[in-house]
Amino acid sequence: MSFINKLTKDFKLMGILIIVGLFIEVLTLIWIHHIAFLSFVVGGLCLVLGMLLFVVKIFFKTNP
Amino acid sequence: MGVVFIFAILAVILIILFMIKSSLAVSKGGKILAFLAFLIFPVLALGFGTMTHLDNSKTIAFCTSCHVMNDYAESLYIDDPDNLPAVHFQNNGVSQKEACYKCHTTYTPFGDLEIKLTGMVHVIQYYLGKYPENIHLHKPFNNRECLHCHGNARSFLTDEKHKSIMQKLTANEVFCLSCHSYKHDIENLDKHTFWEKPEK
Repeated sequence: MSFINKLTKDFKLMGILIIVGLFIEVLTLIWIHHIAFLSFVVGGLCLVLGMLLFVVKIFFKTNP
Repeated sequence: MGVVFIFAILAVILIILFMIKSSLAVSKGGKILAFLAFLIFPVLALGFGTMTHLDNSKTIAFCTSCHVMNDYAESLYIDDPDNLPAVHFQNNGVSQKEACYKCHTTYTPFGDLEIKLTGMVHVIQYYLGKYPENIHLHKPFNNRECLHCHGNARSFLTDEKHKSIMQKLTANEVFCLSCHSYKHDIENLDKHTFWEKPEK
């Protein structure tokens, strides 16, 4: 529980994950290549992880 | 692509604000903004991004990003009126931008998903170097893929040869490709002449 609290206490970790994910996503859209597609999947995973942390934050009400 | 960009920018600006001053999320309005920034905008960006990537992955440019496919793309320019893939491509029988995909998909409710999952396996095989020297289809080419376009065409329905075996064709008991020459003819690529598409 304290580990989850630590992860979701502020917005830093989830924010970084989502920003990195979005950055990769936008970057890959301008390149039609299978590497871009694979990178998009990796970016999407970062994004989903960040969003999951936010959902956990709401669920456990770990307000700053 | 523009929509993804807009949602991404909006999300990033708001997220940076919350990262700098997390106390913004204490008020009711702040909570709504945080919900938009950390969940709604990223989900929308991800959704539209996925759609764009799926569309991109249908193009010849995407297929030929694996070099083993280059010969197949080149074979579409073979100057031979009997070469089935080339004739379809050159006469715009299939979209010239998405020629590979138009024939090598499964026209089923989850055809897009099915073919993209197969494609992912191909990408992995490509990186592991575990693809055969002579690339071939996993299973016989399903008539459904031909009949998706030709099935209701007058030229197809009124043709006597087709009429006599119509049931067998729709039941996949006789394959379209057992009569129609389908080869991309990669082995003899250097012996062919090619159509030079004029620039517009």
